[in-house]
Amino acid sequence: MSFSRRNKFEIWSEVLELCLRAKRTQTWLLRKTRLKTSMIRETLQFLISRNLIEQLNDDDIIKYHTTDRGEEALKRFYTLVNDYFNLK
Amino acid sequence: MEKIENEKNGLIQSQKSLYTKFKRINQLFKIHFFSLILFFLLAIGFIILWTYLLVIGQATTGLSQRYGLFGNVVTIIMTTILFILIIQLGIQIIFYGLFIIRGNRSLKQVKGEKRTDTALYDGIVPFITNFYAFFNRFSKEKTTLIKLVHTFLFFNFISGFYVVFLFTRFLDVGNGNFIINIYMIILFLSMLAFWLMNLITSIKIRNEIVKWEKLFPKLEEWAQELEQFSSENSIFFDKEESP
Repeated sequence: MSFSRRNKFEIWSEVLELCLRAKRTQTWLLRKTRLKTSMIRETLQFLISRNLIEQLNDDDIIKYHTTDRGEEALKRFYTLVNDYFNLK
Repeated sequence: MEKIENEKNGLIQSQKSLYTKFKRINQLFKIHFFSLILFFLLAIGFIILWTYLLVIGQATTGLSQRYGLFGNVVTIIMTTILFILIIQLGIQIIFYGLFIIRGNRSLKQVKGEKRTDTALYDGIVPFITNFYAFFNRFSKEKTTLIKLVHTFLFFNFISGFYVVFLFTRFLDVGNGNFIINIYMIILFLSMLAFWLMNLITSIKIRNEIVKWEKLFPKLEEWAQELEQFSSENSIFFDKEESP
């Protein structure tokens, strides 16, 4: 996968977090993440292939939502950051 | 079902904890930023006072015709150092200002959105990635962010002693005018107070940035772990649960 300016963890974690609270469309994600269309497609494909987000059909509109597995991955991400700040 | 609820609560707890920490870090940057601005304005105030005293003839630059200088060597060195300090204060203001703008934006995403069962906030990751972008921008091969922050800390440290030195030379000058004397004392005490605030926040920011620098490689490892997952394996992070 080709990631130009932003790192993989930046994009993946952001998409996982954005799709956590509600189902999101690709356009909404594009606007929020400010990524190129090709980049967001690649990201979504990757996350779907890893079963971290799911693609849902909501009134003929394709939306994305973070799966339980995605939540687990995100929780791990948060824990890594939390643990670092808890270090004295 | 209970396990899923616990996991969701765990996620919410993690978000809460991180949000509190990020708010504190953002607050620290804000305090530092405003103390820099006030210190900067007071330094400008000092230059105005100095120029005024020169104009009314209560201060002298000690013109030296021998070397063709607009003042004696000490005055020229003092002025040069003062301008260097003001310029570096300006650079620091821009540097921290850019971070605060982006940090505030990501933390503001949280406000105005209602809590759901699965998550509280949307702005946690953008705050982290904002820090990361900040690191990438300033962490080139030769000048790392840590070096830059250490340089700022050094300047903030010596600027206090310089303020004391400057005022020891100028407190006698304004003796003829009571208002100027009062203004000088207020200026001196204010500069000292904001210098102290600057120094404390600089040290705290340095400590925070050292922490962040160690954290980012771990987050990159997290991304690598995700790449290695297949869609089948379920529990992938908890090392304790692996055989």
